[in-house]
Amino acid sequence: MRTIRSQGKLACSTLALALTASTVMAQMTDEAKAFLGENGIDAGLIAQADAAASQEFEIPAEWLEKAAAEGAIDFSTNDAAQHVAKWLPVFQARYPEIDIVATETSGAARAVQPLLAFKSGRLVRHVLVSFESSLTDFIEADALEELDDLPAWNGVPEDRRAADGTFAGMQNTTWCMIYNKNRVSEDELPATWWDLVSEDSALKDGRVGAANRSQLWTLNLWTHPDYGPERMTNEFLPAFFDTLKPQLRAEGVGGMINLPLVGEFDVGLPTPNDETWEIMQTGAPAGWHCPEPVPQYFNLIGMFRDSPTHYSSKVFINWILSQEGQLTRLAAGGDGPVHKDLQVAGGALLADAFAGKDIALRTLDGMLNELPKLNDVWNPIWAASGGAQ
Amino acid sequence: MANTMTNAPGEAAGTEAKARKNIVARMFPWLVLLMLAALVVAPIFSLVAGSFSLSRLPNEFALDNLGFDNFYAVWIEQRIDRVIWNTTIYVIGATVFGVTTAGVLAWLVERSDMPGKTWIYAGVPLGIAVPGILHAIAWVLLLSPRSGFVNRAWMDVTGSNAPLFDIYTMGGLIFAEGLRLVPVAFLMLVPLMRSMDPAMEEAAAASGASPSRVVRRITLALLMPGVLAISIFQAITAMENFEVPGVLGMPVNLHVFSTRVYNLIDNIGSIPAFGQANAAAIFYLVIALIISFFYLRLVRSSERYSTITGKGFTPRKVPLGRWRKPALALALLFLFMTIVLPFLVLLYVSLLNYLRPPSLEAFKSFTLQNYENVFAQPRVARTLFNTIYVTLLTATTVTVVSFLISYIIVRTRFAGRYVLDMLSFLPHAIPGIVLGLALFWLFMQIDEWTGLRTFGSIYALVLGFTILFLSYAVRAMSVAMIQVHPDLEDAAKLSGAAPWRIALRVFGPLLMPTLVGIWIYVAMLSVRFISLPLILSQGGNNEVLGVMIWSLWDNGNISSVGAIGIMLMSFMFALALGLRAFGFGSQRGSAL
Repeated sequence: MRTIRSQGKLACSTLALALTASTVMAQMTDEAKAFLGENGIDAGLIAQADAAASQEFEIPAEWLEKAAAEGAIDFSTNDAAQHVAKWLPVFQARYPEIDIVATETSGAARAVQPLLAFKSGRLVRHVLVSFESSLTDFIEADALEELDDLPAWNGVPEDRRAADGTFAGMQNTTWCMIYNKNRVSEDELPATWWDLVSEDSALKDGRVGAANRSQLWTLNLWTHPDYGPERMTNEFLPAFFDTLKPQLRAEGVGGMINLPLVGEFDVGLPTPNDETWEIMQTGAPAGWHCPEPVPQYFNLIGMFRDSPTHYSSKVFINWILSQEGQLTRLAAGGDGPVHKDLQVAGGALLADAFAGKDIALRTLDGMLNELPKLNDVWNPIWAASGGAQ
Repeated sequence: MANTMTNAPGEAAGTEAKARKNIVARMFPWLVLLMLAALVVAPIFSLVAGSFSLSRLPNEFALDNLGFDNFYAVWIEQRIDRVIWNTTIYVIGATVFGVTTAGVLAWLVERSDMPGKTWIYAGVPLGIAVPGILHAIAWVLLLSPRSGFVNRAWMDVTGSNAPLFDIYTMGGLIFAEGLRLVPVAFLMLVPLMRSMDPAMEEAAAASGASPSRVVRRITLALLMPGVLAISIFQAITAMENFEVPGVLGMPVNLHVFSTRVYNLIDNIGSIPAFGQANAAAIFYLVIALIISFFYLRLVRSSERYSTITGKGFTPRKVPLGRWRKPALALALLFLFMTIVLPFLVLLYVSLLNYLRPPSLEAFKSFTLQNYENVFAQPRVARTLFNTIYVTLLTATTVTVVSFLISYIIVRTRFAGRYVLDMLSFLPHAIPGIVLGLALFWLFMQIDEWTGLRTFGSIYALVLGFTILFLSYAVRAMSVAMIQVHPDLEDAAKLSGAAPWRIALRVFGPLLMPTLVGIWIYVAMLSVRFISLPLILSQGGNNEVLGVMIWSLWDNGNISSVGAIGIMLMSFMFALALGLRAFGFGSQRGSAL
């Protein structure tokens, strides 16, 4: 009887709490603290994220209730499955009722196919990342849900999120070149991109392997004042293809990282700081070099409208954008935080290679307005030079 | 009277039930025919309609927006004429190389006194267990011009700047695909060699013909129709293959039909030209249908060359003399290249902490980290579940449906049985990538009309595979059923057994090896085949292992490919051994 009474009290208190408090506030979970501590994240940063948690996870209680009733989120990601396996338990320690099915995708499967399905009235993915190269199509299709009501939204710098709130940067990446230390000496490495494509370049005639990913590094130069569309069209790109004569490869970024190690080519372009750092940890003879200006950008995250996992997707994206989520992903796979309060030392891997150098940032304007123009120049030259299509 | 009164309604009910059963029995073959027609014709219809559609997306199809623009674009802009040329060279080259190699091996096993024949006979079909994508990846790791382990060693030893071999060439494509064709061609050629009555050869020899003249004028002449039929069958297989040209040809823009169609819809930046992909697929389909037509004609006319009579005979064994050991070495080399080498290469890669050429240092660094990584991924467990689910469902569906179709074709006087036979063979002429594209369109339309969620579901793959593998299964099942004499069935009928009981008690036990064989073979195909899932897989819900391997390879995660590849190949070897123990091994591949 006593038990029933105390249970009744508890139920009443819970109900009262649910009625009076329409939002759920939280501190950083013990699992997150332990994971971050074990994976080398600075104690000060952990404390900062812990302090920010109450505001960043101030999620309406209704969202969580509805999220619990939804199915698993189908998450299309470029994150390696072993990284997902590391950070997913930290997320689920906070939100055990939300399940995520993460699929590492590349090429058309990551963004184009889900968009196509959406335009056909179907949803095959709910949350997706790195859809920058199809961004204009996503906007034209009005495919993305507004996210600016997320508590963690304001942590994303204004220049790295959509003005209409439909997508946000989720991680910073620096794109330079990996090289095989056994085959390339440091004095052969170019100080600037102009040096790379000059007649005197030591890396001419097939020593560089290039992936067909103009949006990852060339766009940054296209919008940089020292390069610009005109010089890129008439000087840099012709020199890149005709003077440097790189191997034009069909492989994606992973191939650019692995193939120099077996001697397929000596330098892989472009390669990101996080994945290159990871291969370096295996003892591979890999170096990473950034000619100036250093291409940097932020990968985007967004969710489809009319998603069957509307609330859980929002809760999930909010976690990704929060300091806890950003630090957890940094610890799990080296993904650089985009959060404005985490732009500190230790927030980017291999930072020595680009610290103090001129940065060429890929902007939203560049992605929306300049990328199609760059592609109009890049694609024909790539094809005419025999690049894999 | 009382009796009459009580029996009349019972008799009437019995007659009614009998009449109802008769109607069902008469309607059933028509239902099967309609179902098969829908399965085969509906995707082709949606493919053809899509090729004329000028709308950007499948679901924007409209009758007032049709035209020939896609065909024009494909022919002029995409230069499909070059693709036709490449495909022709590739298919002919791979078929000639594959069938010749299989022919030599089959002859050595069946008609020569080569030592160790049992091992070769058991070993060659095991090649079926190596999925095409892993086979191609292994050859890239060995013969990639700059970093292939063989070429790297050659350049390091000789100081040469040029590779010994370049797998990224038409020659490389023909070599890799040709090797892949050998096991099935071998299984088809062995019974052909065995069933040749040596009397004619002996008569020719007794008449003074030299051994080479006997081989040329008698042996080859007798074998030719069968070899030609097998060659055409293999040519269709090579033409529809995506894995080998996808891994070896696409990186250097060496496109054949399967890769070109895929390339047209695998656009990283923008929504692809679906109409053009459909138009290219139509060219592809028409060529495949023409080749299949010739295949069927050839098979039907091949009876003229039959040498099997009621008389028993033992084919003559040709003594190889001093060539016995070199012949065995050649056969063992084949087994090493097609089974051992791919396995070893993938095993090596799977144990590395990072990709590098073989060296003492590399061997010392071996680690199981890649396997641990693979097992730690929730994605792998999910993909594995999807693969097993699709495989079980497909193999069971195909076995049951092929049983029904074969029963109607072989055991009934149903008027539409020839149409049923033709329809069941037709999917063999539909390349996987084309069927994938056709179903892509069809599922989108079906979902829009019905509100169902077929697109992106696991059942989309099961349906696609069922259509694709039906022709193999129906052929094998029909051959096996013909061998069961109708007397057994008639006896059961006279004893009052119901049709289902006849199927269960008479056909079941007699056809069990075939049923199990078909089930295992279809299961293996379901795991191996990636072109259809590459188009129909739409995320975690229906991602299967083949697609995951392709995606990992595309992303450059070579060590993970190695770890998953080794586990997959081990599983496939187990299935292949099962196939040999239960099914086609006992029939020596006569049906396939």
